[in-house]
Amino acid sequence: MSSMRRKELEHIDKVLAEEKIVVFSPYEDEIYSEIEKCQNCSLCLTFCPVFEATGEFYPGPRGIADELSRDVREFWRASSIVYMCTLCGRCQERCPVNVPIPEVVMLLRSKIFVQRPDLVPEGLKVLLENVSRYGYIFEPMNPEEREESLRGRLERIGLPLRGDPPLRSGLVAYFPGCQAETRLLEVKEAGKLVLEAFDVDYGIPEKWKCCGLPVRLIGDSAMADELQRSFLEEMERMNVTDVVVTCAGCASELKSATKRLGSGIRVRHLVELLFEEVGVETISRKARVSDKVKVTLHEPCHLSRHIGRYTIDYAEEILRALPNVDYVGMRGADECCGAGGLLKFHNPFVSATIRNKKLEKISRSGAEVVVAPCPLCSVNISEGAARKRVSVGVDDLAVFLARRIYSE
Amino acid sequence: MVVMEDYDVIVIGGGSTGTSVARDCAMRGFRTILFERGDLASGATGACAGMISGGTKYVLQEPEFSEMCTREVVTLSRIAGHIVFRTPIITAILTEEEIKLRASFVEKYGALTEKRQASPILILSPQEARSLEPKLSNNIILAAYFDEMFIDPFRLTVLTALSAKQHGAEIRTYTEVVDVLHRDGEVYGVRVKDRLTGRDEEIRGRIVVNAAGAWVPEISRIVGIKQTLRLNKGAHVVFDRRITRFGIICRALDGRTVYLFPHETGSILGTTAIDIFTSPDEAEATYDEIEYLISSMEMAVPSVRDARIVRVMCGVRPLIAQWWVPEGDVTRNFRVIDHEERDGVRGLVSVEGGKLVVCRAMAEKITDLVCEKLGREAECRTHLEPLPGADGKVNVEEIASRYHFSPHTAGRLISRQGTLSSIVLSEASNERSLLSSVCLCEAVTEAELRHVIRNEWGVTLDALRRRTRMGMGPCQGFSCGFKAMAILAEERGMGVEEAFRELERFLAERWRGHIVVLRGSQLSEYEMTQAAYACVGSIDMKVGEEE
Amino acid sequence: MIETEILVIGGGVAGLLAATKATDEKLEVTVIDKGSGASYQSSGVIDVMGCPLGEATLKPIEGIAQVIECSPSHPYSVISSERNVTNVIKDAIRYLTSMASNRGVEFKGEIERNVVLLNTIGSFKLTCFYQSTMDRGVLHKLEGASLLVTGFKGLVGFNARFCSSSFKHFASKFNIELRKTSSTELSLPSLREFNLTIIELARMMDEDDFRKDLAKKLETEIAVNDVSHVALPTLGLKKPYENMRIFEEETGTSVFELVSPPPSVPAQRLMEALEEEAIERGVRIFRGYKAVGFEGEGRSIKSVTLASGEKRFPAKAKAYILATGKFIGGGIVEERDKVKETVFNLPLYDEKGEPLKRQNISRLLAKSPFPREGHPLMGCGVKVNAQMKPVVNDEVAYDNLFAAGSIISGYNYVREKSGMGVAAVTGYIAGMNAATHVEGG
Repeated sequence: MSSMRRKELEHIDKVLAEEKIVVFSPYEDEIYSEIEKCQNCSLCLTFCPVFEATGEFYPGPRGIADELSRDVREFWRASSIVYMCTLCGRCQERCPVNVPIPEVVMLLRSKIFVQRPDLVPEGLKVLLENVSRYGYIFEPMNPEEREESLRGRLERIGLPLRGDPPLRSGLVAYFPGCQAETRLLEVKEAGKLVLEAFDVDYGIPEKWKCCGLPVRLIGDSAMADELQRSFLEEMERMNVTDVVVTCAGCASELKSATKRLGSGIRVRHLVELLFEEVGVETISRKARVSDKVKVTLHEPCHLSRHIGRYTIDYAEEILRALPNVDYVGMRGADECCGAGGLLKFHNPFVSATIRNKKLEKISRSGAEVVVAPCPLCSVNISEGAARKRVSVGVDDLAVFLARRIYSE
Repeated sequence: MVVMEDYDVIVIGGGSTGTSVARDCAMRGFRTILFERGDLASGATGACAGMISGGTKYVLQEPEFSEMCTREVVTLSRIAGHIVFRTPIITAILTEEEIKLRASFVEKYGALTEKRQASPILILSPQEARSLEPKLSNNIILAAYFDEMFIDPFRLTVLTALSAKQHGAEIRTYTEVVDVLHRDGEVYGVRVKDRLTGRDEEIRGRIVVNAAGAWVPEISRIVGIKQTLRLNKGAHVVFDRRITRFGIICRALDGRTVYLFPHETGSILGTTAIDIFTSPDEAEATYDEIEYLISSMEMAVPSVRDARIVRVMCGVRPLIAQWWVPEGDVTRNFRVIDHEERDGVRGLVSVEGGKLVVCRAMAEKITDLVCEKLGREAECRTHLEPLPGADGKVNVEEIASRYHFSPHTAGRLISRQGTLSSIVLSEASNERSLLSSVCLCEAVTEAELRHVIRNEWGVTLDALRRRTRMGMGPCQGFSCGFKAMAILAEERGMGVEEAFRELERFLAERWRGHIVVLRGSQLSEYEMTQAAYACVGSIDMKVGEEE
Repeated sequence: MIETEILVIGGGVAGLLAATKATDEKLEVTVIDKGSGASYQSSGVIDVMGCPLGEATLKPIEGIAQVIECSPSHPYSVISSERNVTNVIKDAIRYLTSMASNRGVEFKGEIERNVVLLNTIGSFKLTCFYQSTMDRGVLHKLEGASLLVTGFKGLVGFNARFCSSSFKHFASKFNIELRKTSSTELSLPSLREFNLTIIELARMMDEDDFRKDLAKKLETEIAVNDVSHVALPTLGLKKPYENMRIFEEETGTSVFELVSPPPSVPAQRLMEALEEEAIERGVRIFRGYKAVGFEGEGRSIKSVTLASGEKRFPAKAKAYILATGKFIGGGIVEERDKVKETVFNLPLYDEKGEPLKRQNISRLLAKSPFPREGHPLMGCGVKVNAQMKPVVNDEVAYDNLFAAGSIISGYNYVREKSGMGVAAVTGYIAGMNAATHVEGG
């Protein structure tokens, strides 16, 4: 390009910058224009957990649609709202016209990140640094510490420690996710045992990194895209056609990444793989008869609403199939636990308020154990239960299953 | 019948021209009064796309006029900065033939751009154009970039009127001139009817300026003057949001030019040009006009068909009576007519033609004539003094944090009120409930509504809409109408029945522009507002009264 | 894959009623719900017949008789060919209100007469059955009352000052004299100062501390005003009766809540109650599933295709109930000048029972937004027979398909003020008949 030509085009950039006009990709435009359906009926306010918990300054999903939907030049004006959203998606589900507020929130966060990085909550910037530095959203423990912690954890729940089977060409790739890799370590091990028990030929990718969801939630969509592109490319290189995930957040994000990037790789949450490939009868047959236990299901937002309600029905059927598991329904099972949208990391107070409401509902269900098919929700709920002294067991679904299926 | 004191100048018409005349006259020391039969900017001014162009179309034929336009763009940017914005525009070229058509124009037009502080025209490849505006069609073969300035025509008119008032002029809206008083070939005043109270008045003045736009001939007819304009109807389709980031221009199905401009929070697609021979009062946008516009723009921006239309609007251009040429070739220059000279009627001046961008220049010329006739020497200063609210920049974050409310709401307020924003909000420091948004679509607070009711002739809900954009969003006033009604009723001491009648009038006006374009997913909202107003509000039920 | 005996598409009043009624017959019933429909946007009261043929009436039974005489396509008329319509409406509404009552939402009213309620807009609403939180505010009970309209600072959409004068005005139109009306605007520190919504206010009222503060404030107001009745925009979401009782005890006045446009707290209360009761009685509700198509074989529906996320599933049942509503519910959409039914692609009919042509939609709309004769568009829908089976050219479309609620043509609930009444009765009959169909094999 000639220098004169470059200068000419620079003029356009200058006008765009001065007038704060942001060019959207067709994909972004599609999401954005979905808001035009909002009819200001305000029904979403009833179903928004953040609105219920804050009341004071958060205008709810309707506010997001109102404030941001139309003149899109100054995204930063929405920063105080969109970082409060947990992306639970209840508003979308209950909205008469199903306005996809979570997707819009993600999009807005990414625009604010570019336009006014100074407005990104401090608590989130740390997480972003973690991903750059370690590849995970949380700082990993040192190897010895991790090993010790893991052994302790597995011992408590009676599961063995196995090495990570490497991913070979054509196998199912098991993506454990940051939470299971660096914090709730037993979930990763349980996932392995479950896959093994049902004869799934799987391996764990060698150099996997954060799925990109938290990065995208912070607003750095360029980095999120890069993480996802490189992971999916690596999978393609390994001739992997199937990826299985134990974390609801990672599963939904990687699924939408395949859609966004046009990849043919099939990403499924563990419950999908079990239900669709193994079948409830096999699970029922293989499971050990344990002590009778009253169980309820927490429905992770990333499963029920980001992937689809069918995943919850899968999870429920799997639990019901286990001998001596007395499944009880929970009013409010589909409500967010408070960990969504990274809210916990910059506004722990509001996050905890939402969690407390969730705990009330768990208690009311009368269940002895609440099972969540997501380590992020599991950690959050069990932290809350400990703090509020709610006597209920909290298990990730993989762990709950592994303990009933694994036999030496 | 009340007879009012004398004025130097009586201005008929409260569009951009009329208010500019009132302002100029007042600034030059004349006792001035303006009558507008509806609301300010309720005629052609309020139905235009707000483009204040350097005269895209007139570069070749009328270079002098084009230069005047260019000068005025700079002037308006200076005196009304907070309501002027720049829009980058891409002309999408779909056929080889068009390239030839546009080539000579590009050159001459480009030469003027420096004066307007605008960029030259840049030729873009289809790929470049699409990377800037992904909504452009794959079928474009070439594109040209340029940018133009735009203005909020409602605010321009109101601010001009406010400035006129500050300089001593009286502005009377909803006051119709029903008679022009004249005897022995001399006009000496007008008889007016207040359309809200029904009261009649006679006002005497030394000179009457007929700036009634498309209604100019009707006023002239009263004193027996035959004045012919080429009345030409133009319709616009209004979308609920900025559907493109760039303004888009392309050839229409019949070879004319159509445009899609982002404007404020929405987009405007225009326009048609149909000569009309009935009263301008009856002009309405038709289904065919809408379809013509959409089908034309669809060639350049395919997704325009699926975008959400909130309404159509329609105005009548008061063109100078040139015939035997298509509308597009009629001059947009204006003509100030001294009826003493032309028809032997003293005390009457009228104006024909013109366009938004030159409204101030038109007023200057008219006021020069008024000075001459009334024998006063006074310099025009309208290009020097900023309009109310345009005398500085306001920081959105600062206002938002000072009053502790949403930056979005603050930003929308500032875009309308500029430096007056802190006056609008002054009571909100003590009375925080005034910060509630009455209109959610356009973020209009109760404080702003009360301010315009008290200070900007906001006497009807329709008037509130023009001043604040309340009710211009996707819901078209159906979710804010009843809330604003209660506020208006309270401020103006309206009775209950009057208030509900006002609400019905407002919704009926919105509905007229809405009904022709109501379709698809909007029907959900339609059902909701039907149920809210009719099933809950019983607005369709009359009780205890005869009809 | 879902297998059930009866599949109800739509979780509004009509759908939930149909589902629960069928469950009473010990059948397995599944409701799928893609999002909240018009029921959630209602005012939470039950209109039966307010304006037959465009004229307001205080006698719904007479109104129904008029409709049956003049509009043969009206659902009430269609039902009357097989049943005593007044009795079945009574049964359906009794069924609906007892479902609500089991979950603590009480209704009052009688089919013999319509009542006038006041609303937060400042006007009135004609209805038949209303939640008992509104009872003290029924207009004819307010004769001679001295009314305090209580607003809240920062609450959007409710102007107590305006309402106080407009209530007096409208009452006099109905020949009711309010001795005095006054207003106050309370400011409570725990409420947000501006942009307060009625949803938040209702939630706050369920909190003991707030309720105590509010009672105290009201008492002070009443001490300075001479008041016999207090109107509030809401009495709370979960504990409205308790709140009402406490406010009445503290102030010695009669307290009531106003009806409101969406978001309506009473509507939310009602819908939550119906959902809970339906679940309690064994109905399965699947949220987040959308019916997008079907498989039929001759005159029988074999399955309905459901979408959840990216997946598509068949849902098989022995009978299906279409309760998808109109435009809010998504049962009917308009695309390129064609108005369509979205699940079974059933042909649509207008209010008079004539097939709907492809035409520009504005031809189905009146020139003014709220005409007394209503918009023809709101009378469109599927045509049913007395069993609530959709018909095409007077032939039953599918033997195992039933319809309920506002998807049905032949009436205009906006004009008529009959929405929830028709939803209840058609839902009730559809539920019964679907159950009979399944039991009969």
